[in-house]
Amino acid sequence: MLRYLGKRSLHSLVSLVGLVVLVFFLARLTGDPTNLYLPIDASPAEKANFAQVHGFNDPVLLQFWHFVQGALRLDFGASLRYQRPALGLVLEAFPTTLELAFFAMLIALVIAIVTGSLAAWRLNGFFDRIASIISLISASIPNFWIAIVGVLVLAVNLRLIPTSGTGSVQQWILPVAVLAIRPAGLIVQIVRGSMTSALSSAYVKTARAKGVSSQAIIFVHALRNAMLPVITVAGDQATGMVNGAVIVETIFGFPGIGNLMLDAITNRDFAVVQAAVMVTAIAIFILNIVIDLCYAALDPRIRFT
Amino acid sequence: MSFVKKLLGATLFAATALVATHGMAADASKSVTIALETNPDYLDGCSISSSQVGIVLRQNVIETLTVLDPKTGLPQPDLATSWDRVDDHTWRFHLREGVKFHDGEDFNAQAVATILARHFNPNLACLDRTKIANVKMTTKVVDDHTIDITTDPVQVLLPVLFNMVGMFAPNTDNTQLSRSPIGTGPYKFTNWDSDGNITLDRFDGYWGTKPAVEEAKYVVRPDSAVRTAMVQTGEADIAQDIAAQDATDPKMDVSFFNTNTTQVRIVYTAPPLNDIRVRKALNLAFDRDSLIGTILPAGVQKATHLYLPNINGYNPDLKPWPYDPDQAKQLLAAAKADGVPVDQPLRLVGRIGFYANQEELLQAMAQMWNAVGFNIKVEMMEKSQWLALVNRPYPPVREPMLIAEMHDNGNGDASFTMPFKYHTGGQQSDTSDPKLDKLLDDAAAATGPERTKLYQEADKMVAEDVVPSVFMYYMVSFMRVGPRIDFTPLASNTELDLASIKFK
Repeated sequence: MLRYLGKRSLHSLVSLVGLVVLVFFLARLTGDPTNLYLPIDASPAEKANFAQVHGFNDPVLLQFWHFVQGALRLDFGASLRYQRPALGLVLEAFPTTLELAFFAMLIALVIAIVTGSLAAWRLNGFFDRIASIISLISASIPNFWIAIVGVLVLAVNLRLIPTSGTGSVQQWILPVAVLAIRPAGLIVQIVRGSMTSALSSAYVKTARAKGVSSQAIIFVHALRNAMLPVITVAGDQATGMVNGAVIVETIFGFPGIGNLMLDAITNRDFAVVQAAVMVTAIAIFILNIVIDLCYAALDPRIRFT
Repeated sequence: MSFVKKLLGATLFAATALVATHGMAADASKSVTIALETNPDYLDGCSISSSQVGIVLRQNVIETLTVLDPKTGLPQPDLATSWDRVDDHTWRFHLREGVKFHDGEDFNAQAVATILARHFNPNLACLDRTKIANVKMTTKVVDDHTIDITTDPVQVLLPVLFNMVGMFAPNTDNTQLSRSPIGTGPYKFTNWDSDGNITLDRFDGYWGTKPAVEEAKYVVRPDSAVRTAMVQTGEADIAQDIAAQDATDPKMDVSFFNTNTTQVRIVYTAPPLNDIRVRKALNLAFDRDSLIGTILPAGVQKATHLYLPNINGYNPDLKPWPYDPDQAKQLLAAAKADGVPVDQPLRLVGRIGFYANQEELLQAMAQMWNAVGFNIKVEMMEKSQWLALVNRPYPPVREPMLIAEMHDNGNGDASFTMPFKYHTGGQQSDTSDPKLDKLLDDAAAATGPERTKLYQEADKMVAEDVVPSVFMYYMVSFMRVGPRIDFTPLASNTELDLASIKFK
């Protein structure tokens, strides 16, 4: 296990370094951000001074060398926009996105597992057909549409929940629901398919013959064996959320990393882009490790090498 | 399936409990919540001319020496009670007595000297400095509440300029832009949390009239529909800068001129645009009326200048170009007969996210122009690329093209527009006309009615003889104001005056 973790970490480190280098040079290909940060009528002397202070006048390889020296000390530089350490900004924003993603994935998984399992139990029955239609619709509807309609119907017309913000539990209901709908729809289909296969196995027939309750058959015996593909898809969906639920963050005013990164890219805030990419990549690396560990927990035949 | 039933039951119960606790009790507090579109980058009193910063700070936390009368554009006392000219280069400002900064320090002449020096700190990107960027300024403290300010070159409008220069605490950090401003205004800055929410509290030591609002909370909601919804549900009292399509409630939604004027700048460095017949044809072929109330909101007005009618220098005799595509075609035909390549492909450059429906507007304009014989294609650029085209230094070879622009002049005088846009060497000028230059130089040095007359002559020359642009519209903004407050927004996109808010 340790050897596996070590090897995995090394591979991920190489990928991480490559990614950060790529982002560094690609970002600088977009040009000098001086014009974005100085007033429109700034003099050439002011522009030159700004470029000098921030190192934009230096050759790009020299800028890269300074960046590497800083990155080794976990100093990615200061945000041009906010004039604060970039890593600090990212670490402030990231937990919000992580929380959003965590709760959304949890709800999506619970809904998907229960619904998909029940649909597979009564294959082609009424519940199965309804579940399939709803899951297809859920997987297809754009997030921003659900979000706006949700605000208009649930918040404005019915006054059941607040429109936006992060301060109270009620304010998290709609953003989490919006984020959960699509992965729930996708994972229902995966669970249904996987459970269909599991429920037709010999051990399930044996369990039925022995009089085991349907609840135990589904949720104790079959589900565990059906979970491997579900974990794969869920992991992929979770990665997408960790990258930044930018639409949900924008609409509901959540100060998450999606919003921060989009802003940084638009404003050529290089330090923030680099810090955000680094932190997100590390999070995804950890998530992938967790998924691998889940595989091993679910299937004892899997060995790490 | 008892487990499933239990799970469903628990979920339903939890959901009911959560929504049941979301009450909509009437808010009797003297606190207001304002939903903003974007988060400010910082909150420094040296950048109150930025809309992001000004909306929060200007005249709320940070005051200025003078303010402009909204009708006449003339400077009125604020932190300075009066001013007079000592000599051509020197103005003497008499400062208001008994004013304190929020940290307890006195507002006095020495503070003003320190503040002005910070504005000129080259290591700080203070936006307000650009209003006085080309002015060398020295100060002399005459006494505690009198300060002489000497400028080079002569600044006849120095009192007007100072309505854009914030007076923040002199001990503000000189090494970086502030995120916790200290001023003299009726509100003091309290908090800016990690969610981007800003809180201002009423300052009990304020020198002026105590305002009704005790606390102001600014929250950030980039989506216009959500900002609007917040006011509708009572979660906010004001939704700033909402989209026209969301301004659907006549009881709550207010439309106002926001001091922005749109135009298409004609870069007429080469054929075909260096022929005045072609530039006139562009103006005649543009049906301005057809876009009002359709692509653009109904409140916009056709522009005749690059600033609003309340700005000193406005020429009321100038009228919008008529829509006359036949005459446009005749002019183009005449130019073509003289060898001008009128159907040469031209770019109409727009800036992504500049204002609502901009791309649709430019596409409509391009279609109108192509219908009379032009060959124009819209190209949308992001801000940084657009700025490189718009500002000097221009590239050595500047192709003829059209650039969509929006200019803001809420500063009371044409001098904040004309030299910048039309003088030879102006930061955003493609014009070089010695006669126009002389008029603008004379106007800048003049005062009173003579100044107004000279700028009006310059406007006429620009509109009729030079034709360096296609004036479009005086733009409007929309705001939603909740039913529990009384508030009329200023014609400004850099100020939201909390002190003028009253509770019903």
